[in-house]
Amino acid sequence: MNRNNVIILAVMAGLLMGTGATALAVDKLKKISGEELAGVRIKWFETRQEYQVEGADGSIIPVAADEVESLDIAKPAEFDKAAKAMAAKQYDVAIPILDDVATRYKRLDWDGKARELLATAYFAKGDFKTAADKMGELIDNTPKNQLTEAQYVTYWTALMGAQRLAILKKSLSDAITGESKSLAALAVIKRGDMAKAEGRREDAVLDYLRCVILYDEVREAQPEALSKAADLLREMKHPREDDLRKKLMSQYPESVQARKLGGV
Amino acid sequence: MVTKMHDIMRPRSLCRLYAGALVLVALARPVAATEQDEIQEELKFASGLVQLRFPDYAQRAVDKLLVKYPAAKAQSARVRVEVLTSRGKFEEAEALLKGMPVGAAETMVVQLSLGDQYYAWGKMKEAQRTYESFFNQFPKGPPAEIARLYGESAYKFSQMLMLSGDLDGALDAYRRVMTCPLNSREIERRVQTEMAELCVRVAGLPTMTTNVPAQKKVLDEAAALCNKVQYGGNDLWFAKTVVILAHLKMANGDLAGARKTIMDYLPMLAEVDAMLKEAKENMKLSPMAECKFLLGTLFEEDGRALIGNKDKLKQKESADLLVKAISQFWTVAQKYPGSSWAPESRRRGDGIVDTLAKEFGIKVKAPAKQNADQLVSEQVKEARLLFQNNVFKTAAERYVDILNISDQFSNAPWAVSELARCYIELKDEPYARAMTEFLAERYCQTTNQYESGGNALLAVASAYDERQAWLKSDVVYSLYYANYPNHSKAPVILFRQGENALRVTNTVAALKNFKAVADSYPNDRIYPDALSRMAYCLATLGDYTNAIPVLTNYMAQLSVGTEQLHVRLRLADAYRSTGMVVPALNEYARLIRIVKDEGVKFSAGTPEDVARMKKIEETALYSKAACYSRLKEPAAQLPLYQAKAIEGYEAFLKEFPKSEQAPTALGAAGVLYSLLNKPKEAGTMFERLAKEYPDSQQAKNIVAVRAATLMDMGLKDQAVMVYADMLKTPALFKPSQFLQAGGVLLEVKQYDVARQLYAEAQKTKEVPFWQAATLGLGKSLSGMGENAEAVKVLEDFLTKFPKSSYMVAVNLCLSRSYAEVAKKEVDAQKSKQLFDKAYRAMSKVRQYAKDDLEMMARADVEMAAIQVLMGDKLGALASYQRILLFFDPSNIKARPHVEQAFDRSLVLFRETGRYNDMLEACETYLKQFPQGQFVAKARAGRDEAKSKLASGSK
Repeated sequence: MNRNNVIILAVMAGLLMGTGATALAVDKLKKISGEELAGVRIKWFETRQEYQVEGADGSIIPVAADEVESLDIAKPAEFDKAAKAMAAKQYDVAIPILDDVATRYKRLDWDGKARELLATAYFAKGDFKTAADKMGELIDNTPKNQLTEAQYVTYWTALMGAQRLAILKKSLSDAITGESKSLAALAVIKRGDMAKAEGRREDAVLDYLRCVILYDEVREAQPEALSKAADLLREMKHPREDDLRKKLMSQYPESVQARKLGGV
Repeated sequence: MVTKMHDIMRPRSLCRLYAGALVLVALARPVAATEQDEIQEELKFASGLVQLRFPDYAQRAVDKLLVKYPAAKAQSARVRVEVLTSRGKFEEAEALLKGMPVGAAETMVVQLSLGDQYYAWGKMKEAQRTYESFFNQFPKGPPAEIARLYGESAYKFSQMLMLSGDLDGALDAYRRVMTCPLNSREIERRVQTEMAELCVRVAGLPTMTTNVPAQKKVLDEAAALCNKVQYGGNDLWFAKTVVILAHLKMANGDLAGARKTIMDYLPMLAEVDAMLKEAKENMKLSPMAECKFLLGTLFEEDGRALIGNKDKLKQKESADLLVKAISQFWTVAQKYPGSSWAPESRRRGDGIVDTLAKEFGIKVKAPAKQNADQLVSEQVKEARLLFQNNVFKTAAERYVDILNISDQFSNAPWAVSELARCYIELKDEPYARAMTEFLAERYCQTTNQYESGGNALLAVASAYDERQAWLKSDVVYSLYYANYPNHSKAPVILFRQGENALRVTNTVAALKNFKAVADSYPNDRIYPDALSRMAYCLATLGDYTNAIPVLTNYMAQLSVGTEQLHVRLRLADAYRSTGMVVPALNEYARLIRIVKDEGVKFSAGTPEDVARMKKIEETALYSKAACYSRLKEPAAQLPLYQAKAIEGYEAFLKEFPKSEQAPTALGAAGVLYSLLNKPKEAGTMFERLAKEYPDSQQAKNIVAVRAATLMDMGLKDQAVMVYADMLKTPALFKPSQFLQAGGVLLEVKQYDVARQLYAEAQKTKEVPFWQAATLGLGKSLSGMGENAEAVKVLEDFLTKFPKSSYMVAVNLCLSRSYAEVAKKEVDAQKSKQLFDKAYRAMSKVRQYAKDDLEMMARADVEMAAIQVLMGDKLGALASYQRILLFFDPSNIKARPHVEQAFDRSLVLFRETGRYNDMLEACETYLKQFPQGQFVAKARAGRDEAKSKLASGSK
């Protein structure tokens, strides 16, 4: 499919929209080669590991999964409904809708977003096992470079809540030895949380301080690490606890943690 | 002429040294690259922990590393030395060093690191010894592979010695540096210039001025070094040598020669000056400033020497020379405001202006002061740099110069603060204090410097905090609160001080701080937290009544969330603790309903929140049932309440079968069934307790559970009967159970049953149980008024076990019993002997409990009571007053005894008619215990004393 095809499909879509078919959405697919395809619908075929871009004229262009760089799929109408229910903390309303979206939009962008919301919903309900499952599915089904740090943190928190410590340990270890320094810093903090939950308070302090010392360039992780270390040291009546609070207040005065302490 | 060490020896260079040595080690022990990376990272982490002042955790990190990589022992030695020395364990660090292979690269690195640590701790002698022992390994100079380490260490050592004032030693160290190949010709010229400067300084030392040949040798050495530098071309180093050469001439008494040297080289110096200007370098680096200052000084000295000369020509020459001097000084002050010569130049210039006017009637118009601000600002930058580089003495001198010019520039408070901190570092406490007080008072009345003044003062307090000089920092904080009450950080600092007090369990002081925040800063964002802490302190002090309104207020400040629920739980607990069972019950019930029906609204869904909600629900369920079991009014409703309590416990057990409170709940339900005459159900509960929680304390001692539950319900008599029932079948119980029961009954003053229980426990052959039982028996007898019996029992104890751990408690009880017996004794001689025994026993208490403040306070109260028994009311009063005056009322353990001393002394004041002292004691009590249990008595006592004094009593 060349540039002309894209134009034809787009024009067709435009024509249809102009003739009253305003509901017809335009989905887009960008190939690694840089070529862009647009159509009224894009489908995913699991067994063939292939996408199909369906034009308004009924034409179908198959694209192998490994040729695809990104997708831009029109938001499913139900998604907003689910998001609204989530905002109102009506998790039982949101869950079936999101489940449906996650199934129908498999590998079509919105499955990931739905799974993330699903995890959040189960999380809020205290069902950490399902939350961890959902985030696990999301992580398994999304290319690594498209995953956000927040998604990892949600996954780890859910794993911790579900007490799946072996999986958590492995995932944290991968992140710590991985390429992203900022993700590693977050993983170190989470490992500290895990140690704390297991009653290994000194190991937890070591991890929080590890983040402070070895990941000091990851500024966004510092307030959490400093504040958690200080809190734990306080619990343990360690005399140097206040030094960390002072560091937090002087170096990260705008952070949530410093503000909580009354920092300027 | 001091060159800063960091200019050439940046901190990183030391790290590079270490890294170099570590690479050597790495080569010696082949390990996988990833392992080596991990080892290096862990060592970096451990070293970082030491720098962050967590040596305990650094040790842990190293230990963990060595468990994983035992072969990394040598590599970790440097960090281990850092850990040990940061804790002041130098002997252990030395031992570690001794255990390392002699001559190995890593050993040398560790040795030098130890030297650095000695220096950092101000142990210059030891630092010197360590460094010299390193250098002495190479009497003929270092071998090539060590030369770099040797040279850099010698340079570092020279700077240490210079800063500590050992110029001779520093010069020797420089000579060592020169034996090593330096990185580049430029560095070599730099080091040579510095060394020449040092030679001039050494030549000026008193030891040298009296030893001309030695002085000449050093000056020649300087000249030779200058020549070498000058061969390298016209640059900064060249220019610096001009100044040195002029100094050399001056040292030889050749002032004209010195002036000529400078004048001759002036064109070249101007070139260097222009080069610096062109390169937009800081002009403070220009040697022109020093040259012109030197020239000005020479002109001034010559000019002043001619003042008073009657020859008119000489007078004119004098005035001309002084005018020339002014010109040089003002040039320095105006063109080189950042140079260290500028403030002195300005001062000298101004001084000459006065001299010219006074001696010659010449009026010289001083240049506009417009550059004064620039001069101050440049000087402040310099001083700050020195301060940041820990060159405190020079920084202090600079700051004094600056503040003599002005104390109203924009950063003046910080300058004063840093000056105060320099004095702290230099351990010059009177000056540090003077500067701190100046800072506190100077800027608190200004509007534009108020905020900065407060911050600067806090920085001084922090400096003391870092040194753990708490008393000194407290003084600074007091100055801050007094002078900067509206400062933006005042509430935060008050709060933090409160936290610090809490950490050392000084609840009273903490409460004062949190209350100050709550009272004075209700709009501050820290206000809710202050309320929370305030309530905590009040609860810790047992003042639940006052904690209730604080908690209610705190709850109102919070938005919907688990914290709000937790506060409601605290509020309910406070109600319960004050005996307000119905409000407590309502709060617990409300909590249970909220968690069940609206839990989602309150929880953010995080594992922490979910766990917290569960815990709140668990506590509320249990406490609600416990509250029902305490309700007694109206009596007709009692069975209904008890049934409700059972229902509550069962609901709790169903919901939280694994709770720590589950065995207690089962026991309580069993007791309640018994009270409701339902023995079968009661039996079921106790069976469940034994079966489901066999390891619990409750299952092991069901009698205690029953009695404790009854006691908790306020059914004391029935509880006592349960314990008394134990005596019917003593074989069924262990000595520990009798002891426990006796202890409970002693607490509630049921001495007779307690005596019988202890007597039963005393039948044991196990020594610890026997001792505890005998002490309990003695206490019970004393409580019953059977003091003669108590004396017998306790004397028997001390005969059998004169060194028992119960020694203090036995003597305390024995002392009182002796005194009581003595009081009843009609024979005066015998009575005196018994009182003597009472004194001796109490002396033993004081001797063995001297580190236990609580016991000491208690002993003093008891001693006063004995004095009362002896009829020595004035002595007793003196003892009570001693307690009031000398025991810290903020010590939570001693506090009740101090209050007791006050209460008991009131009677004695009245009996002895000492109303002046009574007034003072009441006022002291009201000040120290504003919420104490005897506040009403103190107020009444104060009024009574005032009225008596007004009517003429003493």
